[in-house]
Amino acid sequence: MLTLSPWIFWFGLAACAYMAWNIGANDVANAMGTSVGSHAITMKQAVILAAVFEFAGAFLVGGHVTETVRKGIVSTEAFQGHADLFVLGMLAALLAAGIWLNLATFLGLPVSTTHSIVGSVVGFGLVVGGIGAVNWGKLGSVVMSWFISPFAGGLMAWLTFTFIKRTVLTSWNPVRAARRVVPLLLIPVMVVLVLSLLYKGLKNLKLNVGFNQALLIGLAVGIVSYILMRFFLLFKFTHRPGKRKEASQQVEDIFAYLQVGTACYVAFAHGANDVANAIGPFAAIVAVFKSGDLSMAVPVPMWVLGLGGVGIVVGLGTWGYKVIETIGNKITSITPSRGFSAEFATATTVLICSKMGLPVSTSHTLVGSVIGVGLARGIAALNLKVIRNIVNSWLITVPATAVVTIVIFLLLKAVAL
Amino acid sequence: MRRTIFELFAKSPFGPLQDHMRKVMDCVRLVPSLFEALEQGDNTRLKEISEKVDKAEFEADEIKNQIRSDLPSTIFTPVDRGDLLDILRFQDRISDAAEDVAVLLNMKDLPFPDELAAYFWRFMEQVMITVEQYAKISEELDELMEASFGGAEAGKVMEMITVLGEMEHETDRKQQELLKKLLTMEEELGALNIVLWMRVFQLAGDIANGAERTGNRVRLFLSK
Repeated sequence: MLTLSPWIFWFGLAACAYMAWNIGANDVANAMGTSVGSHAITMKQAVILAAVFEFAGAFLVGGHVTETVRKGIVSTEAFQGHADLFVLGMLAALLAAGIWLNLATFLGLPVSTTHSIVGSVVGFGLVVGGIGAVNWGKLGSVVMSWFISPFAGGLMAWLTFTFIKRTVLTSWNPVRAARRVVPLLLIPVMVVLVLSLLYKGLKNLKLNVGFNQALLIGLAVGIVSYILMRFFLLFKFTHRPGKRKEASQQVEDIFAYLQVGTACYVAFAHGANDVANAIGPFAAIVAVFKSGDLSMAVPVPMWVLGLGGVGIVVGLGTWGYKVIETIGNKITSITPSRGFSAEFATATTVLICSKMGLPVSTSHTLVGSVIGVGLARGIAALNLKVIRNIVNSWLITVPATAVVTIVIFLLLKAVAL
Repeated sequence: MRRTIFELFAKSPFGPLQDHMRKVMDCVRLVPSLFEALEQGDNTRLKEISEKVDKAEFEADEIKNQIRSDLPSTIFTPVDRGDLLDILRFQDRISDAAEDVAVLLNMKDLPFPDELAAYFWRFMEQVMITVEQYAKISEELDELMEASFGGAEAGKVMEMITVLGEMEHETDRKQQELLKKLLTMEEELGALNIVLWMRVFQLAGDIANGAERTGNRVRLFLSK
């Protein structure tokens, strides 16, 4: 059925790398920005940590999410016997999303990589299969996620920061309170982290662990971390602070440890979720080239996941570096306790939503989380104008990428067929 | 450069608000030396210090305008925007009052009778104690932010504001005593000088008044 020349395959590989590079350049700031901004970690450390955890997330957990993008939004049944069109469409989707991200970065628009690829795939479905080829129910859930992920992130962050505020920041002896509460917070952090790793996560490594088992392991890891952290803090923060200012500083220093952990986790979750955006369409192309048609379900090859991971890390190293740097120097009003609240909320919300099969955007959730911390009387000042711009860019991304995909697809069809 | 979601974070208004108050205090702390120069009849020094007062007041105004332009209605702060701008306005009035005192003392050679001096310095001291109390409260603003305007820190600042109110009340009492004394000196000073001195008391009293009012605005942060 496949009549396309093999160079289309290599072209697809390049498009996939291009998309991964853009994801790395764009989104990594979300994972590391608050940590650098609060001075919990330095720029250099942020880049290294992000590289390690983005790649680990993409390579170890990235596999199963690709299915949603590839099959969920456009039904493959509509393309039975049209393998050529399907491959060209996926290629157009990759190119369009990559170009859109690149353009958005150039114009300074904070767009979601997830929704760029969703829009692209929708555009492709529309132009090839007509209105019927697009799973509008699935697309509806994407639109829902525009409201759900910021709201859920905001609520979670509000609860987290309010808890920290009540138990630590407003207490008579904040340092002693922090020594008690920070190790406790480590338990849910570890549970969430281990759950996302083990529960369905490491399918690629053939380690299948049930939910209850994963929960138990998570709790065990959490309790061990609790004990270790408790002793560490008792040992590290022994001298009694004199002034209130000194006490606040010590409290934030303690939270900085937590923040490093959550920053790594956000990077990991981001790698896991967003690698799908780069490799999902390419995995579809690989499958078609392998089997000659799209009837067979072929698992995502590990080398494709690895390519996505490397692409993200390279993107981070080239453009992402600059982005974090600007952020690190610009944010002054965020502290580790506030940054932790926003990051923990983001990671947890993204995890829960992913497990529910909702293609949430890390960026959307983080924006909601930051606002949530702000509403809990946390962040000194928030720029509402920027929030408006961001929401506008969310709405424009899907139609814009859909249109670009249609144009590229028609061009490709004219050239290749 | 890429506009990231981290531009969400606007510049904190609390640090600049403290900077403004520090500049206001630079201005206010010169006021006693104005009266020292007056007491010694040293007009050159009086003029010199007045110019310093004027300069500090102008610099405070610059900070004030900067805060206002950094705080458009598209900025969300953990405390009410109106309360924040009120604090700024009331802080500004403190330095305005100080400057008005300096201007008034340069209008005309004002006699400073020895009989008045004891009463006057008791009053002036109380004015300074009151405004210094607010300056201390202002220094707690960033701590209040750290503690999200609640808990132990808020309790401590509430207590400081209560003390500020008591101090201001004491200033009023000392001002009344001083005024009573002044009004017995009509023959010695002449009606015009009496009126001028009354105006000077009023303006110096406004420094303490302004401090108390600003403190009460901080209370609004804490009671919400």
